[in-house]
Amino acid sequence: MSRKMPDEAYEEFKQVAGENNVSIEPEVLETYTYMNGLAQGAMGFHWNRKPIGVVLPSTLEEVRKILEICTRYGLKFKAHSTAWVIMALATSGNVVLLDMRRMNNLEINERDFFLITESYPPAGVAQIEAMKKGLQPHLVGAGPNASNLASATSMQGTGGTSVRTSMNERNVLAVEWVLPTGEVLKLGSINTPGAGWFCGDGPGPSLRGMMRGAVGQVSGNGVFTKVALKLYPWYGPEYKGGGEPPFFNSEEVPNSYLKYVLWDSFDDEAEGLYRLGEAEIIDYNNRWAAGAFTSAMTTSNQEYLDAEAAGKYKEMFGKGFWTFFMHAPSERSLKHRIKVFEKIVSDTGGEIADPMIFGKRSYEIALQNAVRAIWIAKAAYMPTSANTGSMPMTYENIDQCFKYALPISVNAKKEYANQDKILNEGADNCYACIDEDGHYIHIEHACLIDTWEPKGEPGGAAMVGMAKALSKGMGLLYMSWPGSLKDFIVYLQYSAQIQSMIDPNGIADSSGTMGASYLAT
Amino acid sequence: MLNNKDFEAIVGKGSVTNDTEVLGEFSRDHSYEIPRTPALVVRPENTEQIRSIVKLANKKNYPLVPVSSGPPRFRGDSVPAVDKAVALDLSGMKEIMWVNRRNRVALVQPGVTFRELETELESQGLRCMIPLLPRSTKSIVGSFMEREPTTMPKYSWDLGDPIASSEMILGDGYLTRTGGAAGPAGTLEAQRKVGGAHKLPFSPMFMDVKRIAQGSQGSFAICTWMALRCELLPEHERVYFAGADRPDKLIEAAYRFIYLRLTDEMYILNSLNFACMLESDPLKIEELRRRLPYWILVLSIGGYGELARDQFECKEGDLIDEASELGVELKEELGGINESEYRDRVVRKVSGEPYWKLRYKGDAREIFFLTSLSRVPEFCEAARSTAEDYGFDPANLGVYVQQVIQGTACHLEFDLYAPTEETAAMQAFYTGLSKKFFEMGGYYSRPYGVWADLVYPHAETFVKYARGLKRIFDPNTVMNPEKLCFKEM
Amino acid sequence: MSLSDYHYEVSHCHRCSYCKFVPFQVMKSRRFFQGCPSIAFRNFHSYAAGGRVILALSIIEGRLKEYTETLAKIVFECTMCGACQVQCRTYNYNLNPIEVMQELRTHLIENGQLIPEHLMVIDGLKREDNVFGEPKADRNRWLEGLEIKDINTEKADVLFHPGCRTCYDEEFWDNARAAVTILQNAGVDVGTAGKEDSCCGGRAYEMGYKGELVNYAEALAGRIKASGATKLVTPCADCYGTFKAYFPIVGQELDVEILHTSEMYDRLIKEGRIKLKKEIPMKITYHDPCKLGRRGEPGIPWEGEYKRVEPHIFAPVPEKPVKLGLGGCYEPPRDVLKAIPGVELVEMERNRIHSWCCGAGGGAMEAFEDLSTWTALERIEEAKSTGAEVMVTACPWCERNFRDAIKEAGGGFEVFDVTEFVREAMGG
Repeated sequence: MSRKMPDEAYEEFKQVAGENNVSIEPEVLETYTYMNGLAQGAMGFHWNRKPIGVVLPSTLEEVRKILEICTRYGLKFKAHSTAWVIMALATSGNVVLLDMRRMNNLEINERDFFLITESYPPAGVAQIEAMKKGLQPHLVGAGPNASNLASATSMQGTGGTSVRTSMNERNVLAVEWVLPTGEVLKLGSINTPGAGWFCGDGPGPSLRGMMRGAVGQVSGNGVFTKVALKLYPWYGPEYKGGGEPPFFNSEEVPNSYLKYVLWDSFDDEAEGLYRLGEAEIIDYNNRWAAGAFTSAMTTSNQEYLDAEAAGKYKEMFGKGFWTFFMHAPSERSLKHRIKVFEKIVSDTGGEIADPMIFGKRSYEIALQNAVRAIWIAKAAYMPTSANTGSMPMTYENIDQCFKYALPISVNAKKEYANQDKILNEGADNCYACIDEDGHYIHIEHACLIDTWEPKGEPGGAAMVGMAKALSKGMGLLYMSWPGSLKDFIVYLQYSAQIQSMIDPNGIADSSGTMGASYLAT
Repeated sequence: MLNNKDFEAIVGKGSVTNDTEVLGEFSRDHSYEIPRTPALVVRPENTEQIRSIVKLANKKNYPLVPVSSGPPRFRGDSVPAVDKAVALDLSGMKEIMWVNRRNRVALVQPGVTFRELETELESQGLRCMIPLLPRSTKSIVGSFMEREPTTMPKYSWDLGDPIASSEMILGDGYLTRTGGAAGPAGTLEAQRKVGGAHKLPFSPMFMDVKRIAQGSQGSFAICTWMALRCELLPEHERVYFAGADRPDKLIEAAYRFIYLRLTDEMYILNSLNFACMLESDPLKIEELRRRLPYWILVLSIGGYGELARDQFECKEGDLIDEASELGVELKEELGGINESEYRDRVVRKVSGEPYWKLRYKGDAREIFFLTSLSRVPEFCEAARSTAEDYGFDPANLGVYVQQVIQGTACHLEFDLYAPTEETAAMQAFYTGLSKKFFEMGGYYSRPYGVWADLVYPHAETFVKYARGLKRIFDPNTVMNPEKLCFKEM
Repeated sequence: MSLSDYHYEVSHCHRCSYCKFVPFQVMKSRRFFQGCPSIAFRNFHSYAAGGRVILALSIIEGRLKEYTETLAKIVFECTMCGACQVQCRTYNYNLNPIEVMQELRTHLIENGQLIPEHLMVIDGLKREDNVFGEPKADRNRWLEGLEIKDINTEKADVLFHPGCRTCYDEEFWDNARAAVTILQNAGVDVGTAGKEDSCCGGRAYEMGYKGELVNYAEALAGRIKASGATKLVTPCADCYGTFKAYFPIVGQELDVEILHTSEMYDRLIKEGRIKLKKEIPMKITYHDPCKLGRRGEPGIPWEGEYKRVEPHIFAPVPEKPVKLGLGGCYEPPRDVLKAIPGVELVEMERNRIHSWCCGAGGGAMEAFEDLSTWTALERIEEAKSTGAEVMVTACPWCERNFRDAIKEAGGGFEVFDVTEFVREAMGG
């Protein structure tokens, strides 16, 4: 049951965070109730549980005290950073939301290739500062507007540069984590005074293992106030753009190479990807199909429809295509990489296309995706503005994705698209990227929906696709999945024990992430 | 009371022993851990047996000490901390369960050593990540469950690497799999049938038992196999050496080369460690070290996969240009050791006998921790001055500097060489130096022995929750009790 | 259009937060990555365009039934600078946040939820035809002694519209007089509306009083028609944006070329009719007034509705014009400054369509002084970060707000108008 915040608790929150940084006003709370993101697209509703208050902490100490107040008054809490895609909204009554916007510090350790970020800084902002020092953080496919801390500690975290910059679960170094009890749990090297933030494991066992698995708990296990994340080489000068929105003009990146590649079959595609991955030459990769490309290329729904009717994108990209970007530290290295790239694509029957093929717009989209992760999420949302969630988001190897998982989801999606339950933009609207030089792969098969569409069926296609994959022994959502139902239950029991340990008073609003509700988030 | 028959019923009579000599091998090592003789040594042969043993241990409260590697051991983690322990000797589980070239993966049981796997991998054009010249008996599973650093920092994406998936028997006897092997298909065969290759490093949903168990000295679980991420074997390879009297320039070079992802092998040694690796006889070690500069950066470049020769030449060109820019002279020969000889004896190789750390003085003690590469000189200076304070000849200090996590941190190791009879006298220095490093901010990420007493008093909340996890996964405290922060539980 | 006509738009916000930030393609630093003063100041999501859009949806869907002071504060504590409109449209083309926010304001006023400070302005405006409530009779004090035509009595090619801030803030009289003189010396035939001169209605509109805008637009259109002027020139960016963007929206296209003084100068310099001879050796930076820049983009009226044109695809019918601020006035003031010998013009990180607001607009200066001052000081910090000695701008409202904020912060930086630089460069 939702309650009103007790007056005394409100006063205490104000004392901790300052009067201007606490709100119990219904109008403010209303703006923390609505979400038209991935989860809501899947569920078909947009108004969530209304929190009983929102607090804007600015320091670790404030966060700690806020959780202590929650404990004292029996209130639940949930925190969010930039609140994009999967937002940590209240999923039960009596929840105080912590909007982490004021925890916005960022520090770059150029020498040892890592950054230390508080909860809020969007990844794209961190990237700007890192690039000035010849480095780059990982940017998730969700875009530069997503908080790096959130994806690293509490959500998922892959993107087109994952081939070079890994994914955020694996980029985590030291972590500062306020548990629901208000205790500050430090992971890794910051447990030793004067050591620094370079390591998140130990001392001894790595408690990163109770922070998250393939996904995190979207703040269902506490509040992450600071995390160190790996930085990767960026050999160019800092990215510079100018000109007119929305496509802008980017300055050329020296010693770089940007191309589209098209393969005729999933088999050839898989072969090419295996070889490109192990050649260790790719710095960004992204698979799209015609639907996503059309979405990115157009600036209004009418323009989208016109482009679709013209059919040229579908003709070119009907079977999907890849964008590859390489940036090398030397001309010599780039020359070698191009030679290898062209050989592999040719050997595997691929066709290389110039990103200028559809003009400056398509070039800018390709480059800005590669360097700033700008357009992926737009293509996942437009022209409907909602996404029902994806069919098998599989992270295993390339063969499994292209030879086993994708055919299942293409067929499952076809059934739904043909009945207009989801947008019919072509059955294959899969986006994917190989990670860490091809050691694993991420794939999503977007199902767009306008939730006001009378024929729309939120979530259906994704659920059916996932169920079919599961029945064939392939994982769902973020792939790895406990084997049998019994294993699944045992796994949840362990998770529940961990949750009880770190949240003995049950004040974390974890109902949206734990147990069966996991499927919905 | 321990009952041999309980174990014999599970593994067979021949695999259980209380032979004094055998027990003795598991009672001590080259560390300052107080020797304690286990009551039994049990040698299971498969997962089911291990699982039955863990269940038995839970039922009858038998402390289990899993040991995968053969002697000589150095860290004290396999020396029982409690009486009447059962040493689970897994070194006989030697199956290389699967090698798959396409997916660059190998599955190994706990008894598989690096030499055994490398031989198999080479035949398929692969290589695995390997610690610096490990002893021939060193278990791969044992190494990586303890987050042992490896010599190719560019492939060290995460400190948990190169483990992809794994199978664990938790302290309560439950068998779980981590990473892509977790499921949903119930068996490895079923997973492979739909293209699976056990490569995914992430565990299902919200927790990762692999991470919790790694670095825990067997306090949570026993790993019964692990899937290892492998890389392509170079067709063309060359080792380079750069020497210097001071480490600073070599450190700069290491930072630069890892930034460029140019090198495969890369680490810094001092002349003593370099010589110990290459020579067996103490006199020859002495001779060689005299021919060497004090600091040596060892690196290699490789050409592999597509257009391997072209790749090699490209890297070589870039390396030479960069070294010249840095003012670092790269040599293919150092102190009479040429690069091909070094490759033959060190790169992807295991140590000959005796193990290289025991060659110079007959015995050694290790002190290692993680720090920033840029801080290596100050730790080295502290080691030198502390050695002098304690009357230990700094000339007997070996140094090994290994970048990890793609250069984010470095493993800094000091090897204190001494004859066995002098090691007891050296203990005060060992403890004093360990303390000094801790006070300077050296991070004992794997706090063996006395390091635990330095680290954990400063990590109260960490300890509380690590213990909580131990209670969840090992409720009867049967897994290697009393190690790390799990004393007096 | 009424608020409910925006249901499709407001229900299709993804909450991506692009409305809060300078577009990532042109963002240059963490220090100046914020694009929206309101959320940057208040921090609650409510104060971003995305938050206000949710409130609009909530009202349309009947969830928020009461119009409260808090609601009004959230809706009005915003400078209406329009940065959100540029930023949002790079990512979501189904939403026009600045339109929604304007409609939300109008809706609140129509439903009786008033901001007291704004009401005072409107009362004064109704009484005296200026936003300060000052005597109408004082409106032309600024031009005393100046020889200039009165279009009520004689024809002039250019109608000079000074705007309320210039007319009633003595600090700007000198500038206005200088502007007229510069134009006259360049041979421009200038006149004013004399006693008929009045407010443009733009600030009232932004405060939610649409009717006032309509009235003033009609009156000005009538005056222009009667005068036979071919150009309407103003030194005030606020008025400029009102003429260009708001008048067409309320159906009042002016049959005249609308120019800011800086555009006139630029034209005259390029024609050789203004000569800038005197060197001004100074490193300066230029602040784009929102209503000269992105919000000075010509308004295009749109009447239509969102229709389901295909399953899952709804689109505005007829197609709705895209507003990205590109049609604003950005280069003329820069060209003028660059034409001055010795001047080194350096850009702030956020410039042109991505410019950070001065804090004066949208009724913030009148009712939300804290936001207004903070916003101005943020801009001053950005100006200082360029190494510029002074900041130049082209709007008396911006200048007033900057100067007041600087004074409040203890001084240390100066803000000038383009006209001051032109006059100085012409030899004073």
